Amino acid sequence: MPKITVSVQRRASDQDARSFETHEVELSDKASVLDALFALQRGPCPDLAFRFSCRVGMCGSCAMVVNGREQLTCSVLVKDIGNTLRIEPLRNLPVKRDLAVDMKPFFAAYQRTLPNFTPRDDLDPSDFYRLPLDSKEWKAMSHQPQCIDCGACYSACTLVTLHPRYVGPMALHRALNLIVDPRDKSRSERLNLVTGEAGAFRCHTLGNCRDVCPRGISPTHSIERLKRLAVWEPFRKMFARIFPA
Amino acid sequence: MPDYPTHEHDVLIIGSGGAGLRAAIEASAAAVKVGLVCKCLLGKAHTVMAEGGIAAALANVDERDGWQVHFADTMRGGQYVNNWRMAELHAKEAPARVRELEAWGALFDRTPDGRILQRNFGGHKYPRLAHVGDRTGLEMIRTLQDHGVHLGIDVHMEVAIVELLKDGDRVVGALGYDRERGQFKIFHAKAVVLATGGIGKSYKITSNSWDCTGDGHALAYHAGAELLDMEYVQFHPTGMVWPPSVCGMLVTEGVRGEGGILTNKDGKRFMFDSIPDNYKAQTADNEEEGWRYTQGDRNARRPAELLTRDHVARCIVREIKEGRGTPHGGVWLDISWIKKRIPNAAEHIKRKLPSMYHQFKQLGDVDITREPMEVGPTTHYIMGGVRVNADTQMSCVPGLFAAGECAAGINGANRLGGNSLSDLLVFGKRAGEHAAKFAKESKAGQISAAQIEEGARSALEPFDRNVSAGQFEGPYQVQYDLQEMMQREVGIVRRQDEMERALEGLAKLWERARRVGVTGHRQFNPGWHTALDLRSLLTVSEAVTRAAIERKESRGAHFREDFPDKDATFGKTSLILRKGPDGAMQLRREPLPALPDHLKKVIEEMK
Repeated sequence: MPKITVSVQRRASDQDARSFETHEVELSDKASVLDALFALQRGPCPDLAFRFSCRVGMCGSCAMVVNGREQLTCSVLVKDIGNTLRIEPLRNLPVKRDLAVDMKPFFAAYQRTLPNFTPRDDLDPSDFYRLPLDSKEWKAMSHQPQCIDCGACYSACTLVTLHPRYVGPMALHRALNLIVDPRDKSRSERLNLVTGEAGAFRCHTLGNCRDVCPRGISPTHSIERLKRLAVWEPFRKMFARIFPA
Repeated sequence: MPDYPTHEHDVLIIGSGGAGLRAAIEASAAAVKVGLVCKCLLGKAHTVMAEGGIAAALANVDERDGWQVHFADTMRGGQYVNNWRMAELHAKEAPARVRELEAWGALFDRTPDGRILQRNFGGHKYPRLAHVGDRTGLEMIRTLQDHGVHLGIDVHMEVAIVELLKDGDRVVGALGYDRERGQFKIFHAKAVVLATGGIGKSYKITSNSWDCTGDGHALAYHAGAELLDMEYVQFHPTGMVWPPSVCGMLVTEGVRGEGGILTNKDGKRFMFDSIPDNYKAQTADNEEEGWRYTQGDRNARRPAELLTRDHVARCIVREIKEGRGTPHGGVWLDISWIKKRIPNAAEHIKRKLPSMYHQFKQLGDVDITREPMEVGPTTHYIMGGVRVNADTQMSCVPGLFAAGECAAGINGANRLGGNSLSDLLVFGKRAGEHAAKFAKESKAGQISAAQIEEGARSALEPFDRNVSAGQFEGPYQVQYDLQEMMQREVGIVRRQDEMERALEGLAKLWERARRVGVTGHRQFNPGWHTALDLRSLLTVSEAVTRAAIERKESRGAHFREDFPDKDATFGKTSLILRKGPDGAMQLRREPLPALPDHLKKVIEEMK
């Protein structure tokens, strides 16, 4: 494989000016972008800061912006991108150092959506809930792949850039999972929380999150579903009052 | 006292994987103040990579299952050197721990009629693994994390611990540094729970994430705790061997559970030729029966591919060594062949093994629904670890607890797949519960300024050595050489002379590690982090090597070419390592506690 030119953003903190450091590295045939970063760390930039852990796209630590697009660097091969790499930290989050960002705003947004499961009071906590595969309840649940909270969607979302209070695609997608879970009791409360100004209706359906998700999740789809559920919620409640179960 | 920020907790938990989170939740429920420290971000721990499932005798799929069967399976898998009390507690308590996860929001795959589905796995007599596709660990971590954060656990992310603080014999906290600013932090606690996971990064080819550097093992050892069973390192039979960047990454046993077969370059299913005697009765002797087993036929016996991990790994090594391997030095694992048996096989594979499909497609350019995978053994798990009391999980150092992979006992000489997730739930809970109890019954201890100053000084030493002047070397090469050496000399097949060479090599590596230097500042400096990790890696590597030299027999995951058989005396002996008064590692033998009659009877009945 020919030599690859890699530019990485170096920055001591969010206040510092951005600068790029460029090196040529030699890589094997099926090297990932993360391998290119390792080559830099073991060579010319031993103190280059970036996060990684599992190497196979499971932990979601190593999301960065590669040639302008969010990628899990361990899961994308250099040969599929080209001979020149330009690697930057995720957007919409303050830089801690070099390619590592402060994930706190991302996690904080998630915490604002009542992210913990709240079991219905009539469930037996010592046993599991029966959910036959052909039941309406099972079919109504969200069966998208599991999220690894890598932050790629949050970084790619234009609305997050424009409205820092907007909770972003990941938090909304995860909220939907709980809202359509028949075992959870906070459907209305959570729906209320996530469909306000800072929630689902802030989304303009640009689909960036769907395009960059390394797990193939479509938060866009989840957010659309949240919007529909929010519109129907008053009617659902009314029916529930008229025809109590 | 040095002027570092000090955090006060009743119980401090080190590690944010399954065991750490479960311990934190339990301690929190006991109404003590809980702090959790992790060196990665919350939710990125190695547990998220667990694929297969949680072993628990729920008996949903096969009502003949029960704790007795699970217990007997675990003991047989561990070659009967397990801590029997831990194996008993584990088998009895695992089902409740799984149900509890559902009560906190996890959603396991379902049987058609809506109960938790359980899958087959190597060494388990009945389908026993509750799972979420092949992402069970991820679902578990998310559930524990959301539940734990909701309970109000204090989480200190990206803080690495360099030393446990002691007051006399007792552990009273820890000294760490936060990676973002490179600042030291003091954690003052009445009890400390180690839940730091494994040691995979001591080896070159490993399925472990980059954070598995044996920190808990090393912290405990240096604080005076005993390490047990360190010779038992499990090599998972199927890791990716190609391309190099993902070499070692796990290919779940679930592939074989769903009907995948192992063949050599001649296309022969070599596993059927080498079924050990003690497994003959419960292993299929023909391919047809094996296939029926994977498809849920309760009267069929399991195929030879689903024998225990240590055995399968050695058979693969044998095939490769004898020249019947694949181009990149592995064997073939084929799931695509099931298209001969079932319609829509490609869809079935993608649905049952989604992340395997993606992993190979994305990283290896291989479509597993059409082609076989190239696989070979990879360092996966350490059965050894901190020696703890079976019921309370406390080590011999008062106030110091350990749970999960960094504790020893339950798995004996070899762990069964799926038992690690149930282990960390069962014993994570116990550690949290008893650490909270210990904290309630104890007064706060004194932390020593001298110990903190010394800990901080030695952690900062690498900055005093200027690497760019060429006088000192950086940490990465030392780490690489260590991994290379452990792989070569203390790997799957071990020999006295090789391991003695490794011991000499370790002494040289210790010398080099004491003299590594780093460039740059303390803020988020990966070179510095690696320099400090080296101390843990070297400590655990030395422990593994010393114990492996001492055990002159082959048992479970520990295989000696020069002593290929089991030895009855060693079968009743545990090897225990401890830091001697002179600072050198001391090893001693201790008789294994005898199995009580009522459990002997269980094992007899399950034979």
